[in-house]
Amino acid sequence: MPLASTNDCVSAAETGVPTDLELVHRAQAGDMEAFGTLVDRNRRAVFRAALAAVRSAEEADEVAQDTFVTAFQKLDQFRGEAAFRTWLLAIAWRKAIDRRKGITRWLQRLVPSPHTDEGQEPDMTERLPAGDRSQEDALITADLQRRIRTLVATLPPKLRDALLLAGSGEYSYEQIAAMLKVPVGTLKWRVSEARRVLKQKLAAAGYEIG
Amino acid sequence: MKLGNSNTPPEERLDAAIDLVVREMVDVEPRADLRGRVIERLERRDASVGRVFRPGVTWTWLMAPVAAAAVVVLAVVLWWPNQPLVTRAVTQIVVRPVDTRLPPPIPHRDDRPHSASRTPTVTREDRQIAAPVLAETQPGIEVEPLRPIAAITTRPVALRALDTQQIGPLPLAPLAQIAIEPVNSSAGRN
Repeated sequence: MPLASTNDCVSAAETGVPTDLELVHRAQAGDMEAFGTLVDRNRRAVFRAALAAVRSAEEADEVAQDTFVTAFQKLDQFRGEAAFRTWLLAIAWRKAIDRRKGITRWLQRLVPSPHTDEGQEPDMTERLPAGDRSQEDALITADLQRRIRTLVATLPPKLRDALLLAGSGEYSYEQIAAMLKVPVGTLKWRVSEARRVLKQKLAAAGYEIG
Repeated sequence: MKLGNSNTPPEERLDAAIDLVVREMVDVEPRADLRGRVIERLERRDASVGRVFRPGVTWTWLMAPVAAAAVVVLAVVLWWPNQPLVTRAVTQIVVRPVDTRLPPPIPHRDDRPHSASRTPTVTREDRQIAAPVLAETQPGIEVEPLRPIAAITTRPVALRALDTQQIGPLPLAPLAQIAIEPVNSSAGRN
């Protein structure tokens, strides 16, 4: 799992690559090229955090753009006490949550999605010829994944956010905890609880856990 | 539904499936031109707002004199000596005649200031003056003079003396002798 703070810890003299902190200082002095480098370094982390919250690539892209613009405007408030990426992710998460709570999203939720209706999902295994186990396995796996995707979407937001951010492999638990403003222990419990709820629902849907 | 026929236990396969799905849900790459769009937005904003809002410039200091002036104005407004309140008559009776013809104006008394109130205020004196005038100008309307009200007398409230000896529980009546008849066990059957 890549850690954001590594860029801040290694000095430019050792690697020849400026650290995030050095780029921040240059950007604070008005160096747009330095800020552009910061955007390139962190765009994926910011975008995926936003995607975990809003679950739409278009909206996540807008959130990422807003995040970097806001970060540039508030660069003079960054004191370097935390890693730049952690500070940036906190901004991104706040903006993503604001967007999630926005009126547009609320209106979108009024229109039900046909994919969330579990009763309409076809059982692929019924179409298989008898004895074709490998194809059956593949279809069961595909069906299971589709069902998990649906169930993740129905998780309570606190559990879903924790599960998606931790499961992305993009952030450390400390970074996620800073984003969500919860202790690391609480975050770990949420991830575990999200998994437990998912398994419980899958068992209720007929999947044998063992 | 069995989770396949592989050697791994079903719970581990379920965990793996959850991991895979969660990773896929956020495994999307951002658009490559994000940097260009961000820089463009910042430069456009810079051009429209000027160089004041660049992070290197402490633009808040420029707003300090404005804020200080606002504080001074607010303080002056708050501490300015208050004007004495103008008291007005609380009860205002507006006379609206039923007839379309208006009665002649009430003779104005010199001791009342002209600008005391904008709406006509009718006092008891005005009504005493207006009544005969109204009777003269409109013969159909008769105004009866006020009659004195008879004195209202009330009887003094007196409490009767209470005899506390009479207050108390009544003696219980003696109970009649209770006779218990023997139960006939064969009567209730059948």
